[in-house]
Amino acid sequence: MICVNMRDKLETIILSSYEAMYKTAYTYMRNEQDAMDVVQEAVVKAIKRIEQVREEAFLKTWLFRILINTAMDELKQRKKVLPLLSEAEEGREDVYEDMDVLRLLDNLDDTEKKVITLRYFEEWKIEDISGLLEMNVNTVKSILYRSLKKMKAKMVKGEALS
Amino acid sequence: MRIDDRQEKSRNEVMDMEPLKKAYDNIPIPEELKEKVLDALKEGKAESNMKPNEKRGKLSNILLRSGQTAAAALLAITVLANSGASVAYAMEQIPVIGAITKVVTFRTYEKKEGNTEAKVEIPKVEAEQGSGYGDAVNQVNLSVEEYTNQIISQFEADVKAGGGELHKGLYSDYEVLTDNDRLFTLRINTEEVMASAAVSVKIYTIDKKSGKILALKDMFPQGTDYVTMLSNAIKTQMEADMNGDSGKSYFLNDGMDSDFTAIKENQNFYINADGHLVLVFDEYEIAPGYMGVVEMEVPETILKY
Repeated sequence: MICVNMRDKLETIILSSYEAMYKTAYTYMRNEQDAMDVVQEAVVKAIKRIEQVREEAFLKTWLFRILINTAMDELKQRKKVLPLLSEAEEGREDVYEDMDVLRLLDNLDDTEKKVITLRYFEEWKIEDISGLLEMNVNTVKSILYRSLKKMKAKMVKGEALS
Repeated sequence: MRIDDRQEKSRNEVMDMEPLKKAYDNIPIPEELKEKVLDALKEGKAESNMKPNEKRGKLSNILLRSGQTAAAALLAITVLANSGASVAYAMEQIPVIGAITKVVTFRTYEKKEGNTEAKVEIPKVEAEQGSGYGDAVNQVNLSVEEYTNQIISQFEADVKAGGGELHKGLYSDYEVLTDNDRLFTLRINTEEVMASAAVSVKIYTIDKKSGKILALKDMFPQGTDYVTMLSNAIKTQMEADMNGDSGKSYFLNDGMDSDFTAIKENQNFYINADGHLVLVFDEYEIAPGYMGVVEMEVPETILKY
């Protein structure tokens, strides 16, 4: 059932991009421990489900899709488990000097956030993002445009980056 | 700053992503990260070397939860039985029907070849003698068989076409969703595991007595603009969900082509255990992928006249 070859390739990709995975997870989780947990869980899932991938070219987008879904599931789960502990939840955010800047991402919905993170932070091609989101290229472009507009409006309003 | 100035500024200024990119790049990497990643690699490998049976349950849970990597075709067959109507109009037209029935595994298709694996359980509904709905049950069984034959032959064709290179899993089982004095719903869950796929749904609702497959329009008096009525109900529900704290999101009011405007005339639906109409949307049909297949219960109030 397991194609060792493909798994080795996945392993290579994981080893060369785990820092990127961590940063991506961090934009969701906002603290070190949770971001690391998400990376770990995503790696385990990816290795176990490697049979799903038929083409090597999809490996990285597929890996990041698992990663982001794991982070979002974790956040959803937390909402369910800790409805009364919202203060504690706030407290789980690390002290990080640029956190305010990262909080700009909070103004975006999930899809917009993925697009911005992958396009500008990880410098992915639009085509790869469209593969990850399973949306066509023009849709991704319009989401990108819309997200930028949203963030820009927020920055001007809040002077967040002045 | 005056409003006008702000608008002026936002129009003229090019969005500068540098501070954001810098904030992102500067996220400190914890020292123990590498070690944790290596541990996870080891753990993943150890678990994937377990027997298929052991990992199957866990795997499918994850797949169903994330909903993006599994192509789960879902086939639900709803048989309308007698008494207490809450899908008001439709029930008036459906004749009284006797008690239901048992479901057995008629046969199991199992195949393992190279990197492919299939296990498909084909259920069969058995009607009690003299229950008066034998024809409908036969229809259900035929429909189930046709459907499962189709996914199996598709799988076999794919395996053949893919040579030894194909990685694919096909798992299908069934459950009785509802079994009360009025409703009997059989649901077939088909999970197709591949690199990249979307979840699609297939539901048949069968009127046991007439032997006809019920369409969504049959649930309403002739001439009712049920499409508009249901679409509005869905939009209201979407808005409520998105305003709430549920973490749900839909394609609505984004000003994009993908925005939800109306349901399809023959939108998938079933009737749940409470007797409520539930509309079912394929993955990506009305919501981002992480939402998976979306099922929306239609409030009973809109079905009353």
